[in-house]
Parts: sequence; structure tokens; C-alpha cells
Amino acid sequence: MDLHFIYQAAEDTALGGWIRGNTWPFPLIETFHILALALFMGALFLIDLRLMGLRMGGITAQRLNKELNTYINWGILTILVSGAMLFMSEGIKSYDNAAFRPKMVLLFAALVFHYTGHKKAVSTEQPPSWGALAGALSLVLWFGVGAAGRAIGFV
Amino acid sequence: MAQEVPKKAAMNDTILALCQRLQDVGWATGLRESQYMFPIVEGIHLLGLAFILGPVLMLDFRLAGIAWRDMPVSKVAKTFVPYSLGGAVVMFVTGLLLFCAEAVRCWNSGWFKIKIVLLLVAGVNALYFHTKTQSTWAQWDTLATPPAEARRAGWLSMIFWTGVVFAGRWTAYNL
Repeated sequence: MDLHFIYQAAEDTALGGWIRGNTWPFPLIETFHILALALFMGALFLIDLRLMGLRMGGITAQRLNKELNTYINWGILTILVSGAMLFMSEGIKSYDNAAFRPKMVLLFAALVFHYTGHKKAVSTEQPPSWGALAGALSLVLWFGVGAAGRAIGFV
Repeated sequence: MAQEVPKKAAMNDTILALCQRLQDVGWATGLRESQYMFPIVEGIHLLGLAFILGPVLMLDFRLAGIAWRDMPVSKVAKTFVPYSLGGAVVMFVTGLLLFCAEAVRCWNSGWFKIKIVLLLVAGVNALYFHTKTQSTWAQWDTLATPPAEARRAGWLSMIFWTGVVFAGRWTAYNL
């Protein structure tokens, strides 16, 4: 199935055209994209590393999650909104970019896992037996999203 | 006064010549012109950011009174900050590599200079906190909202680091 029409529709949005037609919006939006990445991945990695067995002063992954959940959710929201804006500004370019689709697939997997398996792993004071695996998987998935995202600018 | 400008220009030329020599070194040229190594190093530099900022933000949040309000400040610092040292090593090494590869472009970039200044300022802020503010720690370690001086240190750290990220990203755009 060719999804070209989605990329074309994104390209044709007024917002996309406006971003494309000006110098400053794209770098500004992309910087917010990266700031949000630093904020939420920084917080999330701490939880993942804790799940994987780092001691962190005995603070449980559940407690870490309770304290950091809000920032992670806001970070994810910011990164999705800014990402959608960047996508609209270069819809057709994204279609032709070899790294864009892998990134979207990884992002989808990372998001689904974050709000299902990962959420379950941090929901109890004593993490489940597969807690370490959940932390590692989360780390790998989000790292993959980041790496594929970086690749978009180079391929 | 008349002598000031040429002197400054001469110094700039000297630094630029040094940058040129640095980036002409074999491996620096190789990194700059490589298809994969440069983006990979840059990608690691970017992801290292999460590892340095995550732990630093925890302490900043605690100092500003945003999060971890029921945990002693000293405990938050001891628990998280050591992890940022690992991130700092990664950032420094990859950052140095990227600088060597593109020394001339970096030196010619206003954003790069702003980034270095902001990094230094963030460092001074942290140092000031650790040497001065921290000495009275025992008195407010368990307060949900630390005193103004500590809150300021937390907010300043957040602002400076945001600036570092901004200026760093904008170094790569030739704006």
C-alpha cells in the first residue's frame, strides 16, 4: 500500500507551507523537539536503568515513575506535536527519506510499549521478574527512535 | 584605539589558522568527510545529552521545589548526580571530536561561542552552589521548598542548560 497521499496531505497543509517558507520556524521547532527529547529521555532512562538493576539509593522504579511521569508525558506530547509540525514542513522529503519510515515504526513500537509493558513494570513496588528486560527494551527502542531520527538528516 | 581593531583581527586570524591546522589532521579530516562516522558521533553526542540532563534536572527540580519535595536534597543529589558524570564524559569526548572535525566552522559560528560561554556559566553556577550554598545544606536539607538562594541555583541551571542545547543545535545550522 502506498501511503504517499498522507505525505502529500502533510506537505499541503498551510502550517507546513508557512514553516517551509520562512527561515526561523524550522530550527526553532526542531530545537524544542530536541529539548523535549533531552527532558523526557533523561527522565525515562533513569527509570529504565533502575529497572535494569542500578541501585539509585534504593529509590524504587515505581517511585521514580511517580515523580517523573508528568514530565515524561509532557515531553512525549511536546515531541509529538513539534515532530508533526516538522513533518508537515517536509512531507514529500520525508516520503523519499530512507530513515523516516523506520523511525516511525520504532516510534510506534516505543510508544505502545511505554504505555503498556513499561507502565506495568513500574506499577508495583517490587518490579516483575521481567522488569530488567522491560527497562532494557525501553532503552533500546527509544535509542533506536533517536538514532533513526538523527539519520533522517543525513541519508 | 586605532591599534585595537587590527590586533583583534590578527588574533582571530591566528586562532583560525590553528583551527585550520587542527581540522587538517588526518583523522579529523576523515571524520568530517566520512559518510557514517560523523553522524554517528553526532548522534551519540545528542543522546548523551539525555544522560547528562536527566540526573542534573532531578537536582534542579528538587532545588526549585518542583519535584522530590519529600526527599532530602542531599539524597537527591547523591542518588542522581553521579550518573551525569558518565554522560558528561560521553558529551565531552564526542564534542571534542566534532569540534576537531569542524574547528574552523565552529570558531566562525557565533552560536558555538555562545554555547561555550553558557557551558562555562552553568559550570560556575554549579561550582558556586557546591562551594557556597551547600555549606548551609544541613539547615534546609529536608525543606519541601528550599531557600531562595538554592531555588535560584536550580532555576539558573535549568535556564543555562536549555541555552546550551539551543546554541548547540543552532551551531549546526549556519544561521
